[in-house]
Amino acid sequence: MSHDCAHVEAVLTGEAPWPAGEGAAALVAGCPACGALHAALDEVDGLARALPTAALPPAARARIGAALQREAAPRPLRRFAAPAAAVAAAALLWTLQPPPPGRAGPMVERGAGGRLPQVALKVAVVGDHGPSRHAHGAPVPAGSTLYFRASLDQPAELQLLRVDARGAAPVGRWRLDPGEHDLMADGGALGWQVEPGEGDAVWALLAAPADAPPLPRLAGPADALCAAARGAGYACDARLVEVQP
Amino acid sequence: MSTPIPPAGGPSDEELMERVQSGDAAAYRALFERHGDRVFGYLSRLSGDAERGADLTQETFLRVWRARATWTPGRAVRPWIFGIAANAARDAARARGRRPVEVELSAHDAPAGGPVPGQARDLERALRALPDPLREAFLLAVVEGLDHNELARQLQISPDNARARVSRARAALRRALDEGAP
Repeated sequence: MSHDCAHVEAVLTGEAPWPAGEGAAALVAGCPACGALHAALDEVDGLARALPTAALPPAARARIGAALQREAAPRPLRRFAAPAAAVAAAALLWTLQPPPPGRAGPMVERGAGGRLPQVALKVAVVGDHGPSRHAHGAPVPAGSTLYFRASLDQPAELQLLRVDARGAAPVGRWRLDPGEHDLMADGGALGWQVEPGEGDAVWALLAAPADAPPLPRLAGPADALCAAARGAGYACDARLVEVQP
Repeated sequence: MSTPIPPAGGPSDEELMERVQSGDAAAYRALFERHGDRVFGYLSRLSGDAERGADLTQETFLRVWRARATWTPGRAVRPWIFGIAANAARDAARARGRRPVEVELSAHDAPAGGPVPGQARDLERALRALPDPLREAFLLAVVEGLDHNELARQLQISPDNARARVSRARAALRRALDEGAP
C-alpha cells in the first residue's frame, strides 16, 4: 500500500507542508487511522469555537467609548472661518509658480513619470502677519492656519494625508481635473488650524490614476513616505511642516 | 463561531469603514459596537487576562481610527481589525518584555449559563500553555474564522506557514486534552 500514514500525520499536525491543492478528505482517504486523527483534530476546532466568549464589561465599554469619542473628535481641523484670510491665502497660492521639473528638495518627493499624474502640493500659512508661502525649515507658529493647493497634469484622484508620530490620517479626498485647485471642504477652502502643542507633521498629497492599486501603509518622513507611495503606484508630493514649540 | 453581521438593512462593515475614512465618528462607534466584544474575547484569551484584554481592545480601536487611511475599499474589514488587534497584543507583550501572564478567566468572565464545562476548562488551560505565535494563529483562524490567506496577511507570514502554525496548535491542544482526560 502506497499510503504513507506517517507523512499524512506529519501534514495534519503541521510538521510537513500541506500538499498543494489537496483537501483533508483526499489526504486521509483510505486510511482509517489517518481519518481518526483528522476527526480528533477537527473536534478541537469545534470545542474552541464553542468556548464561552465574554462580553466587554459595561465599565470597560463606557471607558473605551469615551476614549474613541475623544480620538475621533475633529479637534485640529477647522473649516474655513475667516473668508478674508482664505482669499488672501488663495491669492498667494495662485502666484506660486510650480517647481521646475526635477527640482525636489529634501522634504519633497515628486511623483513618478509615465502614466502617473504629476502632482505638486503647495501650502500657505495664514498667521498674525498675514499670508505667506510655507517655507521649508521655517516653523509654523501655533494659531496659524494652513491652506492647500494642488496642481495636476491629468485627471486624478487625490488624497491629502497628515502623518505624524501616531500614524497617517486622511484629511480629504478629491477627484480633480488637470490644473491648479484649492483643496476645498464643505464648500470652503480647507483650513487646518495649528494648535499649541501640536507636533510636526508631514503633509502628503497622493495622486493616482483610476486603476491604482490599494494604498499602502504609509509612515515616516516625507522622503520615505513618498518613496513608498511611488513604489505602490501613486504619485506623491509631501512636505514637512514643523510647528513652533 | 458567531460572526457579527450587520442588522438587516444596516450598513456593511465596508460601508462603515468608508465613512470612517472620511472622518465619520458615528460610523467609527458603530464598528466598535459591532466588533468590540469579539475583539475583547480574542484579546482576553490571547493575553490570558480580561483587564488586559479590555485595555488592548481600546488600543485596537484607537489604532483603527489612526490607521483608517491604510484600509483600502474592497478589503474585508473584520480580518483587518483582528490584524490590528494581533499587532497591538504583540506590541504590548514586547513592551512588557515577556510573554503574556497566565491568569485564568474568572467565573464572572464566562457568559451566563453556569460554570465552564471541564473539557472547555482544559482547553482554555491548553490554549494558555501554547507558544504565543501558535495561540495567536489558532485563535484567529479557528475561533475568529480568518482563512489561511487572511491569517498570513495579518501575521505577515506565508500562507503555508500560517496553515502550519494552526495545525501545530491544533495538534498540541489535542495532545493536551488527551493527557488531561480521565
